[in-house]
Amino acid sequence: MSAPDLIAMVLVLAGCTFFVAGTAGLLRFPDTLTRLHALTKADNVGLGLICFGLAIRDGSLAGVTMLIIIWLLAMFAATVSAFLIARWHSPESDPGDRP
Amino acid sequence: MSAVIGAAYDLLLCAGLLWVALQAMRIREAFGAVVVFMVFGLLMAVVWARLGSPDLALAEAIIGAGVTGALLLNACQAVQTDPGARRASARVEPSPGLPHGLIVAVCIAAGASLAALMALALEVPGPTADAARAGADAHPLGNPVTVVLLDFRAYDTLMEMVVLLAAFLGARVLIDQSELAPLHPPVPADPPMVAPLLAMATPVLVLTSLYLFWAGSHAPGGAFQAGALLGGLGVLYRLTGRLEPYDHTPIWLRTVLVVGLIVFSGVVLAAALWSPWPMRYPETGLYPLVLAIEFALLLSIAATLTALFSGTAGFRPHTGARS
Repeated sequence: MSAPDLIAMVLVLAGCTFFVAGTAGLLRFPDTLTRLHALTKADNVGLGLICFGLAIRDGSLAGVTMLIIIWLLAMFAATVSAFLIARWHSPESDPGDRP
Repeated sequence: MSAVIGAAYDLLLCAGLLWVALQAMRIREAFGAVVVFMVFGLLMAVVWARLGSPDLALAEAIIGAGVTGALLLNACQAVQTDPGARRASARVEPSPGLPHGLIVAVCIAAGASLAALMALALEVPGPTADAARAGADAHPLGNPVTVVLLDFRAYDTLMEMVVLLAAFLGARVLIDQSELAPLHPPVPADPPMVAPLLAMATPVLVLTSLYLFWAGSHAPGGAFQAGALLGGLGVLYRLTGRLEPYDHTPIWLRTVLVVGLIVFSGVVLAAALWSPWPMRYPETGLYPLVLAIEFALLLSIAATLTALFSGTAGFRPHTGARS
């Protein structure tokens, strides 16, 4: 196995570890905010590492650009939804925000 | 080695799909069941992707998980805020019909026999399948799925559009007859982050939708996926109050709702000019006609889905003056 492949494999496995840890946190943590905290790590770092590893394996400009866009879009959506869930949950939030 | 990992992954996927399907049926609380149903849609999309059907994977992810999920969440909210509906749902007792075990056994037997039939049918070299494959290969459009949807089985697609329009009309009749509380009451102000999300999501979603429409003629994509994606953007605008409810359907909305059907039917009927049969494309100029039909379908699908989600007769862009 060549060096780039090995690096890619390590990165993807590390990303998977973040997802497993994030899922464990989502299931085990006691309240909404700590669960969100665990989940965002999986979304941001885990997906980033996986995309990074896949980008090394892919190597083409188009493929790498698409992986970066996927990562950025997923991060943006995850950030906003986590923020809105946290805001909806927090007791001092403005009731007007609640859907 | 990789074949073993692939098979293990497929088995895991199938088991997960069955488990999630079971949970969606078992969970009594509506909101939880809908969320599990959306997860089912996403897993199903992965299954289609694994089977090498990116068109179906896209459609399942956008329509099955996304739009249907949003509509079902809507229904949950309607039931929770409407006291009459809650009373009605409280009255529904588990029906004393057939025993559950029998139903499960019948379903499993039906599913298994269907699966066996499909497995057998794969081996049968039918003349229809061969002709369809050869016809799709020789067709000027590169994407075999679009060839089937807009040429070989165009009648089915036309009727799907009729079904979509009928669904909207049915929803309108129900809305007029029921006394539901407004589903998405106007919010006094956006929570922070919502405006930047829309500012970024709007161009990305419009661009992706137009790409899916454009790509549909030669690669995975097409009017249904593109329209559902654009409808998703409409849902975002509706939820954040940028499209406000309206108690009748404005004329522009009526036009957009039927434009797909009109353009499609127009081409179908115009075929009488150049061929003895309706629904036949001319020898030349197939590509622009297909593009025109697909674009009109895109607009109608997006408008219909947004209007269905809105749960009102119509909607209009929010302007500060009206508030």
